[in-house]
Order: sequence, then C-alpha cells, then structure tokens
Amino acid sequence: MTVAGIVVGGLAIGAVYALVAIGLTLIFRATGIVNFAQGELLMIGAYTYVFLHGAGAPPAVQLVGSACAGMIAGLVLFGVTHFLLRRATEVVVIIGTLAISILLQAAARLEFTDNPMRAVPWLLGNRNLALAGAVISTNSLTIVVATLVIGGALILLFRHALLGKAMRAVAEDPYRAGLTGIPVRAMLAATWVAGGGVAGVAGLLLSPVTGVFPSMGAQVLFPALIAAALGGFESVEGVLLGGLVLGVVQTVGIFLVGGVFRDMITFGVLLAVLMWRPQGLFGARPERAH
Amino acid sequence: MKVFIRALLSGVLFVLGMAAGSPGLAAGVQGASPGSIDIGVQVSLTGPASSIGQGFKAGTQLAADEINAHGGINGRKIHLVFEDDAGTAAGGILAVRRLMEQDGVFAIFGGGVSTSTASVIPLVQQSQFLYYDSLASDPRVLEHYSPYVFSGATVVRADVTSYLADVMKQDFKAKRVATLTSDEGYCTSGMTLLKPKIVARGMDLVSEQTFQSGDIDFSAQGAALKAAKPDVIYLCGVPADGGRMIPQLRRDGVTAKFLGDPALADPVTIEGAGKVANGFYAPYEVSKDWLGETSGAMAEWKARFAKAFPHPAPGTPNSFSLAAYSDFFVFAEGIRRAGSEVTPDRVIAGLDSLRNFVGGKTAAWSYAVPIGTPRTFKKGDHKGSGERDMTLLIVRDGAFARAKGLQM
Repeated sequence: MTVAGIVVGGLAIGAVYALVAIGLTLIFRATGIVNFAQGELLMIGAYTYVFLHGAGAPPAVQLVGSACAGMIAGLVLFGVTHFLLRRATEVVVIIGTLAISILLQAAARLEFTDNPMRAVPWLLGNRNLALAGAVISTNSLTIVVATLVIGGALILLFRHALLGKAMRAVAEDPYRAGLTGIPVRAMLAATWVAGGGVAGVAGLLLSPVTGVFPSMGAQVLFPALIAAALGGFESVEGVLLGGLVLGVVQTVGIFLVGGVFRDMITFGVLLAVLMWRPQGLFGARPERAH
Repeated sequence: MKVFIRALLSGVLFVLGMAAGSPGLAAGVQGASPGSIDIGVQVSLTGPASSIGQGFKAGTQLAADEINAHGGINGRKIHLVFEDDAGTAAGGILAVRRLMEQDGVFAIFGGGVSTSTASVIPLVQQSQFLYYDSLASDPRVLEHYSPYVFSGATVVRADVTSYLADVMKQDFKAKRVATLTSDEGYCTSGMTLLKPKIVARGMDLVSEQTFQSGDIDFSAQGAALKAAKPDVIYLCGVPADGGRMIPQLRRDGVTAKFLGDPALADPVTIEGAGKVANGFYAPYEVSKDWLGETSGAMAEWKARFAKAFPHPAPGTPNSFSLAAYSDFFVFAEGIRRAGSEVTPDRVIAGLDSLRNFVGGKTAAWSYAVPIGTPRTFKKGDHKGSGERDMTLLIVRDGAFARAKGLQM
C-alpha cells in the first residue's frame, strides 16, 4: 500500500522533471545551448493555467492555453538567443538564458509576489482512486498519463513525421540539412517552440501540486537537468525514462533517509551517472580515445 | 596677531564643544540627529518567506508613520531603511552589513526569519550594535546574552515547544506523535527541544519526517506518515510550505490531526491549502486579539492598516504585521526613555526598564492601538515573550478562529 503510493508519487514528480528535461534536450541537441530559462517557461504555463481556470475556461482551452503560452515564450527566447545574441559564443548565450531566467522570475515576483497561488487539479479535480488496495490521487495519475502521451507523441513525431525528421536532421548537422533544402532557422524555431510548449503543459500539471509561484520552475530545473543527463541529452524516450527513474529514486530515497537529504540524493544520482554512465543510462558507450 | 589666533582657536573649540554637547550629536553616534533617527529594518521580502517579510514591512511602516504623524520620538522623526535578507543566512549578513556600514543606521529592527537572523547575531554582538529581533524565535538569538540584542514578539523555542507538547498531550490526548519539519532554523532547533518533551509526557514519537524549505513534493513523507498512524502530526515550515504540505498529505490519505508551528498561523497557509486547511491547528503568539476579530482593538488596527495600504501585498495584514506594529512601539519607547541624548547605551537602558509595556496603553503612545502582548526586559534577560502569550487557533470555514486549548 505504501509502496504503491510512493511509486506513483515518484512517477508523478518524475514526469514533471521529464517534461522539462525533454524541452531542455530538444533545444540542446538542436543548438548546443542549455536553456536555464526552461523552468520559467513552465512557470509561465502555470500562471496561464491559473488565470484560464479562474476565467472559467474548459479543460481543453486550459491545456491549449498553457501550451501556447509556453510556445510563445519559447519563440521569444529563440529570438533573443538567435538574433539579439547571434554574435555571442555558446557559453555567453547559456549565461544569457540564466539572465533571462532571473529576469522572468523577478518580473513575476513584482507582479504576483512570492506567495503561491492555489491551483485546482486539471481535468479530474481533487480526487483519490483506490487501486489494488492503494489510494492514489487522480492528479498524480493525470500527470503520469499526460507525460506518457506527450512523450509518445513526440517520439512518433521525430520518427515518422516530416517535420520531426527535419528537426532531427537540423539537430544532427544544420549545414548539410540546409543543403538539402530544410529551412534550418524555421526548424530551430520549431524546436524552441516545442520545448516551450512541453514546459507550459508541465506547468499546468505541476501547479495543483505546488501552487504557482515565481521560483517554481527553478525548483524543477536542476532535477530536470539530471533527468536529461540520465537520458544522455539524446532521445525523448531516454529523457522520459530518466525523469521517471529520478522521480522514483528521489521519492524512495526521501522515504528511507529523510527529506532534508533530497539534494544529496538528487545530485548523488547525477554524480553516479557521470561516473559510470556519462553517455546516459540508455546511450551507447563512446569509444575510448587512445 | 597672537590674540587673534587665540580668539579664533577659542571660537572653534567653543563651536565644537557646543556640537558635542548638543542632543543627539554625541560623538560617534551614527544615524541620529536632533531632527531624525535612522532605523534599519532587516526583513525577508523575497524567497519562500516573503509573505512574512511583506507583512512585517507594512506593520513597521504603519507604526513609524503614526509616530511621525504625532511629532516623532522626542521630536525626532523616524526614517526607516529596509534591507531584504531573502530569508537566507548569507542574505542576513549582507543586509545587516549594508544597514550598519553603508546606510549608517542608528539601530536595527529585525524582521528576518530565524535562518537569516541567527546568522547575524554574532556580527551584531561583536560590533556592539543595537539589534531588536521581533520575529526570529531561534534559540541562537538569545543563546549568549548580549546587552545589545533583544527578542520581542515571538515566543522563544523553549517555550513554544513546551506549549506544543502540552497541546498534544492535554488537548489532543495524543499517544502517537509524528513530525514533518523543514530545514528552517526555527524548525531544526525546535525539534531538538520538542523531541524530549514529547517523550517526557509519555507520548511516542513514531515518525520524524523532514524536507527542504521550498520543496514541492511531499509524497514520500506522506507515505511514511500514513504508515506510522500517528494521532497528531507537528508541521513546521514557512507559510508557503504549509500551503503545499497540507493538501498533499490529505490527498495521500493522512488523516491525523495537524498541529502547526506558530509560523504557520498565517493566511498564506490557508490560501495555499484551500478547503483542506479546515481543522488545522496552530498557536498564535503576537497578540491576545486574533487577526480575524471584527471588533475592539483589532478592528481598529485593521481599519488603520486598510487606510494606510489600500493595495496591500497578498496575505497581509498577517500576524507578522501585528508583531512589527506592536514591537515597533516597544522599541520606540526604549528610544523615548533615552531622552534628548540618544545613544545605544541609553536606549538599551530604556528598554531594560520596560515592565509589561504595551504601546497604546501609556500616555506617550495613547494614539497607538494596544494590540501587542506585554513586554518586559531587564539586564541579563532580553526574552520579551513567553508561553503565557500563546493562543491556540483552528481553521474553520477557511479562516483561523480561537480553538479550545490551553489558553482557555
């Protein structure tokens, strides 16, 4: 009974890490940039959800609205990193995303203060389900199922759709992709938009659990980076699994040794991965240089 | 020529002598002049504890504005300088250093949380800088007596934990107790005091769960608490943490009574938790008048607050606004008793002479609303509040109300 509760709780928080990590990975693969403002895209999606919910919008509009808010913010970030910072090196652009992250948090703090705004669970409300003797919140299940659906859709997109294949081609080699007629800049923009949209949905899913506040995205960013590292910053499926594994390991670890050790558990996992599987849990081991 | 030089020197010495002897211009006193006095306010305006800081800032401002509107303290207008400590230890050091060295204030009125306050105590003690802590209840504030450090509205941890253990035992008739506490200073230091008191009262401490302030997921702790089957769970954290914890624990099937730390007796807890906050208990410690009362002194104070702040920060006024307001009059009384020549030592002597002082109940501050608990300080004992100043509250219909408890 306890085990089921812990596992589902871990899968739910891990699913949120995974959604943010997917966005981070998409952008990193396409541009080489680690977007430190990815958590703030989640925060924007969460605030959008609270306001749409407050305005009485139906669940479908709330979902689309949060995703769109994240997409628009992702597009703006694309503009900043690729036009305003076009002459900067990758490291400078990464620092630029950190600056944008702090800027967005500060703006939200000025507008909404640090006090969390309450959010009602999306779609199914605040209910519990009794499954095989265990009581599981429908919100946790919603988060896990929504993440699996989004992850599955992205996997299908990148494997079978022309748009996804073009995005992958640009991520592999933008020069050669351009030679084949793929609009490279548009594909890069599409990558940022996709990353923002996924983060926006993550904000909608996470907000009922935590409330909505300016630094909520920053709370998720480092675990998401670890989830991305577990996935080797490569495939959607790897990152998805990495996030879920991290969530469960973190939750079981907290259950066993206590919540004040959360960061030690999380970063211990990162250190272990970097030491034994630097290519990620599911990537191929690179050949050792001699 | 010699006569002229002698006359000139005499004139210069006379002017210097006059300046040295004039009120408020005693040599070496920074932040005070005959017409004004600069008071630094250390406050946690950003971060997870921002609701505490926003409320405290407004309460301080309200008291200072009222004093200035009535001519100041012995003719000196108060000039407040606010510095944000972000609720962190490093932020506290930075804020206090800025106030002492850059802003050059006369004294500091402390509204930081325990973490940011405990970190600055060694600094103010070494600097022999007058520091009046209104909010932090961490034992480290008064651990080593210093004539320069005072603790005001909040009840010290030793007394809070005795009160909590008594409520668990006598009011809740609990046999099995569990805890869920954050890494905030007042929670960690409080736990070391609370644990032996739970055991000494014949109760079993069946589960000790912890989290990091600002954490967003409590599913592991919820599972552990549910499995431990406690009668009551003590919750400790900042109000925003409380607003996240309570619904998640209830959602995870935890049915035990929740008894919160005094820090959780705040509207932000209810705002975050929503309907499931109903039935949540927390002691309240800065006034005998609960914030929700609609008549008497509290109604008068709330009306003044609303007039002064037509667009208040969300969740304010809160108990921290009350603490700031009532304690600022205590601090002001110390300055008033220093007389025309304001020095830290004279203000300390003024504060040390206070016996059951409440702003609004004496002629000098007749215009203040008398809502604070009585404050007594003496040389060697700067603990301003005790167990007797606490009131047990319960959330009913989305608002705190008095509960039947030890205060009845």
